[in-house]
Amino acid sequence: MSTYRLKVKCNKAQLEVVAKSGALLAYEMDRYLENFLNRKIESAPYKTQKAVSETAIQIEYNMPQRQVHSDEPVYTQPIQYQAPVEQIQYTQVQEQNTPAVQKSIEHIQNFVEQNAPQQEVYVSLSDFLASNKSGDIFSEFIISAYYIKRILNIEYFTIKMLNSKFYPATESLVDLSIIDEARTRGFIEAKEEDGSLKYTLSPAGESYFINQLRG
Amino acid sequence: MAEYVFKMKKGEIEIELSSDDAEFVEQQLAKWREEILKKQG
Repeated sequence: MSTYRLKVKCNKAQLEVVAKSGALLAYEMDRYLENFLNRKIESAPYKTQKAVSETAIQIEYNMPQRQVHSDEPVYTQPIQYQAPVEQIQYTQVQEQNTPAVQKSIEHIQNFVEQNAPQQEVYVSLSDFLASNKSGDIFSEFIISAYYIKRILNIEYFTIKMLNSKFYPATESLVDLSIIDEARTRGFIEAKEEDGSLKYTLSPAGESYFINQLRG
Repeated sequence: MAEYVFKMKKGEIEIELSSDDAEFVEQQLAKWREEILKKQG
């Protein structure tokens, strides 16, 4: 014959039923089972989800727990916690060119500077004569020859070309006597080209201008 | 003879069923299971 035992404990109370009939024990079990399933657990101190979240945030950010007084109204809106701002330091990285690249850049810069179009000088012959010691027509001729060679960068000139600039500036004309004197003194050099004589200021003529006529 | 023990605990209440009648224990467990599923539903 089988034995059936039902034991019920509640806190310190304990009920135990021992029977030889399963039907009797089943009846008792159904009674306790209904109470068992409908029973609400109140003793467990469960925290609400909000309390658990706030506690977690306080632990994470090491924030002191806010003291709430008993007469203080309870706000239902969630409290916005300010996370500590991370101090991000940005380091400005300065690009460093390799020596070879830097040398190439400098080479290009120098090339551009050297080959840049020269600024044109718009100094007129009359102004250039006025800025130098042009006391007589011979001096004016030497100054004009220097102007053509170094200012206008024209190596050789003919008397016709010279006078085309000399006359507007001085209202005078250079003739062969002045040319001959300059050649005699070694201030100009002549060469024949295409059947005509062309002249240029000699190094001695440039020295004469620099030492005697330059203003 | 084998003895079958089934114990349930919820909070402070605890129910323990024990018997050597395997068929009886099986029927009671099925009944309890159905009741629990009804409560869950």
